[in-house]
Amino acid sequence: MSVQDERKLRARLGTLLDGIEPRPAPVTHVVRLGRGIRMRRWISVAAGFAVIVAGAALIPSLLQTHRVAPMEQLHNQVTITRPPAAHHGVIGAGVTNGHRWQVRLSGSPDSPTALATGMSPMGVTSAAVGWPASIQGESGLGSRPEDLIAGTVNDRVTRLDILLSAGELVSLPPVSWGGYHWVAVVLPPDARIVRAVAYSGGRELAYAVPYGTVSLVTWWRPGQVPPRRLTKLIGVGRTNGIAWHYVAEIGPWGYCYASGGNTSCDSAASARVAPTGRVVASMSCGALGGGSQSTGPLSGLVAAASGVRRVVLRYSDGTTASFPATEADGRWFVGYGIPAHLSVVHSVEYGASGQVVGSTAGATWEC
Amino acid sequence: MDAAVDAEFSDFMHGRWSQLVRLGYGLTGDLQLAEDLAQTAFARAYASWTRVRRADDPDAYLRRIVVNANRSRFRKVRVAEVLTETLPDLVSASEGADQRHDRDALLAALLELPYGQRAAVVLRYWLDLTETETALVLGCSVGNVKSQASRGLTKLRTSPVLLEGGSV
Repeated sequence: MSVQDERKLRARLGTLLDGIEPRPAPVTHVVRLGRGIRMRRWISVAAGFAVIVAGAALIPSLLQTHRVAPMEQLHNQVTITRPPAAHHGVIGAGVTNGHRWQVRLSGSPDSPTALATGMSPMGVTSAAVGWPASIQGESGLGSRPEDLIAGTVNDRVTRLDILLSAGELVSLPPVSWGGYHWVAVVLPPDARIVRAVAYSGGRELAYAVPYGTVSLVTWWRPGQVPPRRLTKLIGVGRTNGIAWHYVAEIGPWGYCYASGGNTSCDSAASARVAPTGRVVASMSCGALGGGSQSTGPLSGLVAAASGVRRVVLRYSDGTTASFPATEADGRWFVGYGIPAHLSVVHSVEYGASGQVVGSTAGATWEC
Repeated sequence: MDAAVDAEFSDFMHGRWSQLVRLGYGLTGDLQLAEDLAQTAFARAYASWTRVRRADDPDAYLRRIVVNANRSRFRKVRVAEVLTETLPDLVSASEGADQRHDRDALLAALLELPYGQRAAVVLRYWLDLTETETALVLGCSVGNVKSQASRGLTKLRTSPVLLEGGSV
């Protein structure tokens, strides 16, 4: 690299970053957060000490517990007490870093609400039970900082093991409720799931690696090799002065697509290289700048057939805009924008040589 | 902590807030996320304030939290189906179209770099940290910093988005 290259880069980075004007420093809020962190650390130490003292005094067989790693190596303490049955909708119970919890289901068995002790409710869906499990997770529900994990498992699954980042292994026994088999656990806020494995007896059925801390998106069969890690910008633009971008986050968790603070994931265990039978297929879209989806402006992301290299949208006022297709892990994507008060009449898709490869109705591009 | 210590922390935070947010922006391309990262770093610094204020280089401590927090930020992302968040419009009225295009192109090219290379480039070429200081923030060897920064710069030079507006 030449000195001139470095100078140019310094100058351009300076223009990019020095021009950013953040909001005023939120000192009061940060101090409050900092005090919370300190308090949780203190509670964690105290709870750990209490557990050690209690563990020495109590006969462990009084509880039916599932634990593998030796206690002195554990950072977090998660104990599962298997409910004898889902009485009153209780599908899980235990103690996490001294916090005793229960997870109770209520409502329709097809889409019940899970309520954990001290937390806000979390909606879960059981109607379409995934193979071998459909697990949802959410962080910071209500006043509790812990993560709630709950969901259904296939009727062949006899246990779901969750390995946490500090080496703890939490084994979840399925509990029947409303015709489905459920698992639930409350995890410490700083615990990260490294891997989840579904077993049928002693046989491993499938494993999943989370996207983020708690989102188990894609299940892989034993020996199946997940995609390599890849983070790639697959769409960027500016519509009505509002910048947008889409980033593919691919890895052992599966195929996820992020924009701003939101992410959508595809639970399929293989990259669907092209939308079946179509030139483009809608993946996600949303309003820009806090506006409404009916009047826009909007941005969106579509999956494109592998022959598509460029898409031209024709808007309702007769104007057009061209958006390039970008490849990530063998799959093609087009990020696009729709200006305010306009809609897409139709699109034309072009291949590498500029040839027309398809035309799509405007509805595909709307939210 | 007493009021005097809180006042000391407040001064510390006011002096570093903007730079830490800008570092976060260079790593994420998202101002809101950058502010969240900086906020997280300062909250952790407050929680360990006695140790941080005595550290040889408190700035390195903060930068390291920002870099690492961003590396693992997807751990806490809730999976959602509808995209509504937007990048803030950072364009000022006086800014010309060329400048805007140049800045957007650089940001897009930066975001295409693997995270380690992006962090090395921003720390070395925007914050002007030495290779040793950068290694301290990234928690890796000086040799690793050299190779990450060099590969990052090479990729930026050949980035298609930057070639349109003149390479680095």
